[in-house]
Amino acid sequence: MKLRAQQLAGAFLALLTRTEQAIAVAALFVTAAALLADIFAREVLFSSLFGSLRVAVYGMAFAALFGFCVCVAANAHIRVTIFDGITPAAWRPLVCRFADLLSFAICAAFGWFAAHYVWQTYMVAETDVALGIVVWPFQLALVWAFISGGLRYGLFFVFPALRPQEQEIVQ
Amino acid sequence: MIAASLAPLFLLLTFLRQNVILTLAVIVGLIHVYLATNSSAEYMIQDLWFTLDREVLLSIPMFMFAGVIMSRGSIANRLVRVMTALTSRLPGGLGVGTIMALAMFSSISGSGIVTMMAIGGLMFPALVNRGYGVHYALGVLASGGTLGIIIPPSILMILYGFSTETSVTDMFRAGWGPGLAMVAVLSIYTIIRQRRLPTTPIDFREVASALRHGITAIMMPVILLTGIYTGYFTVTEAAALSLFYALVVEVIIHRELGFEEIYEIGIETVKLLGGLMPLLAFANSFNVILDYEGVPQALLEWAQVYIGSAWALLIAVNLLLLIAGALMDESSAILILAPLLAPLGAAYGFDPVHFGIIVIVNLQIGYVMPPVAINVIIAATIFKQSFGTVCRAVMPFIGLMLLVLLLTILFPQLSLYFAGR
Repeated sequence: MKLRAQQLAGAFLALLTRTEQAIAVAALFVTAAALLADIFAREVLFSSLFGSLRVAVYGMAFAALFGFCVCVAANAHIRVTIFDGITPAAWRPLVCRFADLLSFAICAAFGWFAAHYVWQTYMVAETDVALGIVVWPFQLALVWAFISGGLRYGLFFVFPALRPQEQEIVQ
Repeated sequence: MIAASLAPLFLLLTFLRQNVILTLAVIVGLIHVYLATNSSAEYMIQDLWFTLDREVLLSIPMFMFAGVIMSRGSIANRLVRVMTALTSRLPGGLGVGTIMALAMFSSISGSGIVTMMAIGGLMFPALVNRGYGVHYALGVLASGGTLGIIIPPSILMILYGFSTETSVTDMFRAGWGPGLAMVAVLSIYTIIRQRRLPTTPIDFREVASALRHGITAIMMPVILLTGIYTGYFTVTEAAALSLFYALVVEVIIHRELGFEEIYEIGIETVKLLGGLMPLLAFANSFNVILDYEGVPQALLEWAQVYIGSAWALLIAVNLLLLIAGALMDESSAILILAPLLAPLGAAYGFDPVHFGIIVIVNLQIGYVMPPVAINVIIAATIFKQSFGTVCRAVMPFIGLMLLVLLLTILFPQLSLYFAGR
């Protein structure tokens, strides 16, 4: 029964990761395309492309926030490891599990705060000055990043076998 | 009480295996909710969004994307061929060629890690097979990879410029002096250390062939940096064009990468971006609230009472940065410390660009300074050596990097001449 649940959770996380990867990479391409289109318009057509920089910025925000989720999925966030050797090896699986539970709690709290903030901007209909459109749909990526991250850590806590091996990434 | 418990909290969260972003998130959240006057969690979330909503940061994903493309394609290979062909006559020529290739790749990539991985993957086996020794090969690649931090374009310089409102273009110009000084110091060390290895005469036919095949790679920094320095491109435009150029070279001209590889590279890039940008957003929120609470001003007043001279300040700042570089990842260190230190530097009469370069060179050393030495960790992984072996290998090179830091501090013109200040 538990194995079946774990398989289902694993399949769900794999699908979620593939979807988030596709969104993040598409957003990255949109950013690049918007910037290059602006340069092309200015150099060839002698006029800047209206709103291109704002489109690029929203693309970057989406790429970064969905990239956060992709990073959690790969267990690739930078972590300072100098205290890892302190706990006895036998306790390590327990510490890792507790770490996932704590990460879940932190992400859940920030997801809640982010949702509250986006609700406020929705209520006041905060608008992008350049594009003249409301910004809350873009800001939902912020809520998504924390909720998706929290969901993953929660599932890693429940099913430790789903947690990928740590791969520290650096910029 | 809460302020005093933040440092132990940082240690506790680190002990509890929380990543840097979530650790910083908790600390910044507590400051906003419990310590700051007139702030709340919503203000912090607002800061996060305002940071991600900044056009000035657009160059970071573009340089990252271009860097990962170039490290996967053939540009690194072509640069290595040109540089090793040109330096074969020198004692330790392959080592010097490696340093030149690292420097050249640094001038098209904004990242020290990408630089080390791109050139190191090719040169580590070549150096070891030609008798340079595993320790030398590890040391030169791990430390030489950090040229990507100091030779422009540099993502750390963009972060410094963003967090201290210093001109990124001036930082890019000023980085050349210490960058070239480090190339010279590493090359001289290599020539002396490897003087007994056999040399080969320059094969002009090979040089011509390498140049012909490498011209697309060599032209890239020329186009990129000329555009920035002449003011024709902004840094963001240069970053977008470098991505465009890398795509054209690797996909259309050399046909090294197809759509599937570009998608995979895109995933690698968003992973890097997802690790950096939220960190940048939380660090910016941290700095906003510190600024709002008058912490930099209070620090400045404290310093003026207890730190009597500019030299004393410089010694304190250098020690702090070297320790921070050894214990923290460099992006976090720069985003948290630079906004606090830059006003101190200005108050004690340092040129903001020169001070910025001193900060960057310090943190560049942090990349190879254990225990949190990112280049050492990556080198140990990709070259399949133990962490201790790479740590021992980089020790002499840390000494050389400290020498370059000293030159950067003692001779401001080493940086400022290139910045035209």
